[in-house]
Amino acid sequence: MGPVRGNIGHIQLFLRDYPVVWLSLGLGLLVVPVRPEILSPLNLETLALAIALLLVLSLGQSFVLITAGIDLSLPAIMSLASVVGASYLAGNSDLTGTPLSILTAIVAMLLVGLAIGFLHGFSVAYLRMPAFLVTLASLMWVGGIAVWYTESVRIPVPEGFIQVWYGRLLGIPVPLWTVAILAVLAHFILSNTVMGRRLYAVGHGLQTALVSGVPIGRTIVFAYMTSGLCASIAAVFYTARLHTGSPELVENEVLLDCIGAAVIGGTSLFGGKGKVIGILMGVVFIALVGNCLNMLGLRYWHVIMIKGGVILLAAVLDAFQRRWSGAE
Amino acid sequence: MLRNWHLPFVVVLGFGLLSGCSEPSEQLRIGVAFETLQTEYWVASVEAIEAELRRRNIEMIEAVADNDANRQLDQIHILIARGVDGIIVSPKDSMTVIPMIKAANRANIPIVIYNRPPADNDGQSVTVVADNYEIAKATVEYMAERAVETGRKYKAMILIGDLGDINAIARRDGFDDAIRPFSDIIEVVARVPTEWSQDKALSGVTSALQVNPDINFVFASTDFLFPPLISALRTAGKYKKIGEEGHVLLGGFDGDPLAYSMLVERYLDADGVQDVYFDCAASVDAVVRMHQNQIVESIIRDPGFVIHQGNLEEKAGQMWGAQIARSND
Amino acid sequence: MTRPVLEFEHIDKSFFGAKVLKDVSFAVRSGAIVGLVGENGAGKSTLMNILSGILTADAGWIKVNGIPFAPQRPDESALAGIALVHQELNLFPNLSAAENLFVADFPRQGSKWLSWIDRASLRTRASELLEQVNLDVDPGTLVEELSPGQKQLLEIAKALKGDLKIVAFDEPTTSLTQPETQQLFSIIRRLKERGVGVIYISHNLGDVMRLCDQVVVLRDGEIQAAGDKDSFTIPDVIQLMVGRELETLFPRRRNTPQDVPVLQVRHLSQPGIVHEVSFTLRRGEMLGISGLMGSGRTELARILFGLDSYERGEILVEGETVSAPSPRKCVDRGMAFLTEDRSLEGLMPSASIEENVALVGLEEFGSRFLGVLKRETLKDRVGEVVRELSVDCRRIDRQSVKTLSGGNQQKVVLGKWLLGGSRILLLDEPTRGVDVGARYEIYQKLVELADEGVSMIVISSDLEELVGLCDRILVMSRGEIRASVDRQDFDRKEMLQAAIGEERLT
Repeated sequence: MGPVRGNIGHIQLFLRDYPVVWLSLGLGLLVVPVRPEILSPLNLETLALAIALLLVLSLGQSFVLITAGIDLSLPAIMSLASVVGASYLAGNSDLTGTPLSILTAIVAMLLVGLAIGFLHGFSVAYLRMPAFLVTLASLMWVGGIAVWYTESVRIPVPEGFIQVWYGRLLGIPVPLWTVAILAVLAHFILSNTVMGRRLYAVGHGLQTALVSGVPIGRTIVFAYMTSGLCASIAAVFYTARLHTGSPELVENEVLLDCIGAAVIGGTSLFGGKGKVIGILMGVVFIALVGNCLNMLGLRYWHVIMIKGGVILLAAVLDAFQRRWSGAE
Repeated sequence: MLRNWHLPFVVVLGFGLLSGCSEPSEQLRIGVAFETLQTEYWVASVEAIEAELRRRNIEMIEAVADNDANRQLDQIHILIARGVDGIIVSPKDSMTVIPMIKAANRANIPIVIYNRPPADNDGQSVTVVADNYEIAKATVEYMAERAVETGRKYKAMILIGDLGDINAIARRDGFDDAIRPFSDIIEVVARVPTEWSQDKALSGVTSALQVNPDINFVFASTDFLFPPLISALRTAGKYKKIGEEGHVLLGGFDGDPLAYSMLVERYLDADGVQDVYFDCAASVDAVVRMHQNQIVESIIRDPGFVIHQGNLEEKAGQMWGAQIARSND
Repeated sequence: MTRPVLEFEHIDKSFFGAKVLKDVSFAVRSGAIVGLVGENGAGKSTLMNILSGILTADAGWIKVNGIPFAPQRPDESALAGIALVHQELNLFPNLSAAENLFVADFPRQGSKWLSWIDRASLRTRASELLEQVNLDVDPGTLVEELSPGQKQLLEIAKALKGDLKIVAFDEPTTSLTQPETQQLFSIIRRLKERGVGVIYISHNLGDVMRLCDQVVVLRDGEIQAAGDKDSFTIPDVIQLMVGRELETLFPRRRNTPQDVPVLQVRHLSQPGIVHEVSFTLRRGEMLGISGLMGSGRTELARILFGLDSYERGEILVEGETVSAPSPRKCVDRGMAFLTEDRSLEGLMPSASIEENVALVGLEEFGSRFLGVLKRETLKDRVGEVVRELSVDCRRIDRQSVKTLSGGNQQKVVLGKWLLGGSRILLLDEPTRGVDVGARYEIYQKLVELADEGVSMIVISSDLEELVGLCDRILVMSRGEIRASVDRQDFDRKEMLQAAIGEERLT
């Protein structure tokens, strides 16, 4: 009996910590009878891939949120990385792309995110600039560079690069493997390393962390570089998926999706709180809402109203949940 | 904890009510995936497609991607998962539509590309598109002829669209080729990139007018950009009717309701019109024929036409914007 | 005997089934000062919250001037002439002193329908109030620019508005210096002369005995004793409060400091802050620094810990010069800084006890490569430290430290440094806002550490504390060290004079 009760206890605790799980389950249960196609392997794969894409961005974002910062530059980093990678390939590769050129392109794309992330971290940690302002400015100037660099022209990418997204390993799409590994890695860093604890400490109280000898500069730079890196990884996926290097790879609305997912999943905008499992739950919910609304084939107006409303409602539910658990 | 259980169910109940209306049936079902519904042109297009589908007793399933190519690809996958019989897609640009074509091909579902032709690819699709180059060229030629009549010199500005969109390039090229023979009297002094955005258009036009206050010949690559253009011209004191002193020769593209009223009020000289009714009917017809395994030519061109002060009465009946403007009155 | 202005009769109060007040009855007479003492959690704050209308009693009643009074909201008690001066400051740092005083009822001019703030009258009325508490600042000064002591005086001035019948002071002296405390006492005595009934809550029993006419001792929500102050001695009161006998408040040292310098400071100067400060801290020494607020004592500690810069001088730790000190360098050299602002600089308030205690020593538990934590070992060590300091808590991994009492919070801060292996402790006001029981436990731990060879600098406004604990006391005034007194020569009066900075009496 003992261990069984223990498991139930864990599940209860989990459901209490993440009420969004109820929302996702309820949503699924109601849509399935109306649209059984939602459970078709084809749609489940579409859903899983949507979750993977959003999860990459949310993970990076959450590292920054945990330090009580915010990264609004993700769409711009993605666009710049996309056009840098695609134009490198266009100049250095044939139609299929050699493995070496593809690898080089991916490394270049990742470096774009790391470099911009470093700039953000440096500005926030050492120049004491507000994260909101620094990253919002980057959203503009980095995005501007991407448009200027390409003059808005889309760049096709070679067939080999596309396999980064469309390839399969043991029948499962490559990006699902990649993102699963990333999620496990992020979880490990946050919960099992000195750096992870320092990220939370900086978010909980910058001054306390400073007095306690935490190298806050390095920690903040690490958070923003992680965020930039994740944006670049997402850019690799988007570029491969759409067969296109584009300075308008993604709409800024993706920020609402990834910040919303993190917050719904228990990450605090005030810093110090957030776990990978919760973020995953938030991402599943946001992706599921999008999938269900499209599955139902509702008119566009209904879709945006419901989506906004549902995110708001989930946030309200979350706030109530927190207040009750705080009062206990 | 128990108390907040009911909240999820309220949300979910909402979904149930909204979705309960549409039941699966034996009708043909066509997915219509639009990149945006943020301008009247696209709304008019979707409505025209819907009307045509209804006429043929075909069910329409709509998906709008809100300017996001990745989301549009998701929507195409979802339409495929729902087992639609055909897809009409208006993509964000000519590149990102390629994976959509491939996905439809893999699922063996016919796909028609509305309005924005895809870049070269080995997929199977049919494109319905207005002849953007010719329509734009004809429009600007009409404007240039009016310029010649005045015997004055002209400084010209063009508002260019998103260069990821082949149509934007075609319209720009049409403009350039129409102007070239008149280069002795018309000099192009400003090329404002807008990426199809009103904000960018407003700031671009405003600064262009400051640098070149004597601009008196303007072509907008889409009527959707008229509101910021008018506002910038008005601020500069240059928004005048035809015949008034200081009138700026004005041309646009699309044939939307605002362009129609500007023509009626004699602010606008000429507008290139895409024949939305023709395009939409052709798209539906193509997707149905493909579903029936008939051979369909891979590009269906809409010749379009130029509407101007000289043929306003005669052509207004074919102009989609005129229909909307009149029905709103 | 004057008539009672305030009576509590048979007050009961429970939270979630736990009784926090049981049949509490006592009276405050007009013109009397009643000292209300008890450990944290004894029910003092709950009683005050009932008086001010923030909470309502489950049973029993309050009478003001003999008339039953049951306030439902704080403004009702304010109307009835009851004022509370809180331990936590309820001030708006971004508003001026005057605006804070009148934030609830700005003097207005204009009509009933369209009115605006009467700036001139705001200023004059504010000046009067500030004068009453001897707070010598311009009424237009922003509150964030005031020192903690000045803020406390402003808080008191806020309570003095209107027709006062009863004032309750909840730990008013925690952020006050000695002279500021004296000033407060004279204000309280003036209130007493005006016939106001005063309730004075404090952990500082010396103050209570000096100031009050009667003493009421609460323990676990029950009154243990109430009576004239002359019928109690301080040890009596402590025993009543904690329910067990305390040998003394200050534990006895078993070892004496060794003659090994661990921290040497030479000619340290920063213009306007400290001037030519030199001293040596020996191994196992408890070195007190006394001085008024603004004397440079806290500033000195901040410089030593690399939080503030200095212009000239030399700092040596274990004989090695520390160039350009930073908190991180200091921590690496085994230094610890327990700052006076616990919630901002000592704790991560919404993090768990475990996260807080683990913070400083983290690296010790991480692998050299990639810093992978040995989580179980870390958790065990945190558990040990928490038990060693007898932190009163439920779950170290899920309970946030903001739910702990001040004493337990301070133990967590101390535990954080102990787990980090610190050998030189800079302690700035180590027992501020800490109740008597926890205070004794903290003293005991500090003395134990010193006996084991840990060195510490103790900064405190409480001279009793320094005299009770330290081997040696430095007295600072205006950024300079004015006196260094060894234990056998401790003379309170002399030290106070040195602190005030007057020429030494000969």
